[in-house]
Amino acid sequence: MADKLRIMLVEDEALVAMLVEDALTLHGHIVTGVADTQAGALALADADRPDLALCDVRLAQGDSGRTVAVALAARGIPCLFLSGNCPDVADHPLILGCVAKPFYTAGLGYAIAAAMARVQGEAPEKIPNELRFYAPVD
Amino acid sequence: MNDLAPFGATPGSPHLADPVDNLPRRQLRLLGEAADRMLAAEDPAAMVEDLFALISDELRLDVFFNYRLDPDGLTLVAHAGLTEAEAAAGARLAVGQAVCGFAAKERRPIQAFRVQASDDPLTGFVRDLGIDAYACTPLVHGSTLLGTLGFGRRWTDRFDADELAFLHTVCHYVALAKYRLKIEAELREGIATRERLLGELNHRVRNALQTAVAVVRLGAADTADDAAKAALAAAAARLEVLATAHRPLYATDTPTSIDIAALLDAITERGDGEPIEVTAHGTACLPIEQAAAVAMLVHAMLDPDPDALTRVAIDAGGEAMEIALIGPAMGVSRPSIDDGRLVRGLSRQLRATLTRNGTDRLTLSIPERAYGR
Repeated sequence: MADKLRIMLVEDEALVAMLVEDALTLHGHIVTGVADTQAGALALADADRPDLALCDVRLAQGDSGRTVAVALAARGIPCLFLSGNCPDVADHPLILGCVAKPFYTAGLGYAIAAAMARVQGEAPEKIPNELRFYAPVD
Repeated sequence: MNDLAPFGATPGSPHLADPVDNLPRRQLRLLGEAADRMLAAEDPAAMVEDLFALISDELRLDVFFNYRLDPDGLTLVAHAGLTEAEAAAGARLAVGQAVCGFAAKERRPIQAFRVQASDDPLTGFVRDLGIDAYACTPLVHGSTLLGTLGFGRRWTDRFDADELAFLHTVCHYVALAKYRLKIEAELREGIATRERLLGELNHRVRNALQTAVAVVRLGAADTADDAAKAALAAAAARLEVLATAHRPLYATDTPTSIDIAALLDAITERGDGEPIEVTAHGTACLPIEQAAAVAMLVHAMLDPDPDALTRVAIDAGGEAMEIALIGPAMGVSRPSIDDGRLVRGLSRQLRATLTRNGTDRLTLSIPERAYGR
């Protein structure tokens, strides 16, 4: 499992955000905050830089999670999509992959550990079924 | 090959008047009627049979062959003037085979005259049928070859130029009509496929939600712990509210918009059976995500005492959608509910504010920017 990470969540559905927040906390991570728009996400990231961002694709007020992920990745923040409609391709090398909804909450911890292993250039210990990386896994 | 020749002007020859211009008035009328029938046709094979019945007397035609181009060659799809055995013999042609196969390969009209006196292998098939004059036209729309249409005579060895012009024009109409029918069939198939997929998706979503409700309720039934039982029952009730919020999606042409009055009418039910009046002013609709959040929020507000509600008044006529939950104690402060995590999360999602008036009214105010009206 990954070390304790600071993770920000970009998710527009309150119930899903609560579920993910609880799952991350259960896995020993710290949720730096939840945003549901592009402006909110970037403000949150700038105020309290996370180690990783989990980002839904469809956000509140018509905002695009893909745009948010690119902006966060451009700030050097690795991103994982968390979506029922995973994009086929990543728009930035730091957009690592996508966790497909619905997902096992237990698998979320493995997905984050696998993502961080990729960031550090290591082979993931386990890749859960819900996670698809955008670049080929070594 | 003097008697097996392309019909029409050769490339580079001087531009001549359209050969159809020379047709007798009677044949022009027939062309008009043929066009009418082509426009109204619904079945490609019946259309060509009908066309042949229309023109065969005027043109003194004995046979026709209509081939459709398939991936592996030409298939006879309509014909007249042939015995079953003759039709079976010509049921399939390779592109390049016989007169029509040759017309398909060359993508230009081909005529064969004095067939009975010819030893050209391309005319062997029609010669065996007793045909002495034969004209086959490829059915082409744009750059798409659809098939061929050939007409034959047994009583004479040729067609004159006007007759060929007439047949060529008719074949052009047939190509247009067949292309239209092909596109319509593809559209119908596309719509049918989409409807099958939507039906399957609806079934799966309904089923998944119902299964989730069942799983949680079975879990509640299996536990002896009263607190756990109550928590699972509350979770199942929330799932049922979610399912109710999604139900309008299965039966509407505007699946992104949910009627909030109908939704609240469906989820607010008093234990004592007394009716709850739900009224709406203005267009009270929200996208499904917000509608589901409203339903969950209202359910959370009523959960401790569903019988406290007597009326719901929705005002969507202003800059915000105001949803008033009215009942004897609805306006009395309930910090355990109002400050709960679920209510805070859903309120934040909706950018909504909750106000209790101290007596009988709880108002949920959703700014229009939250749902992009």
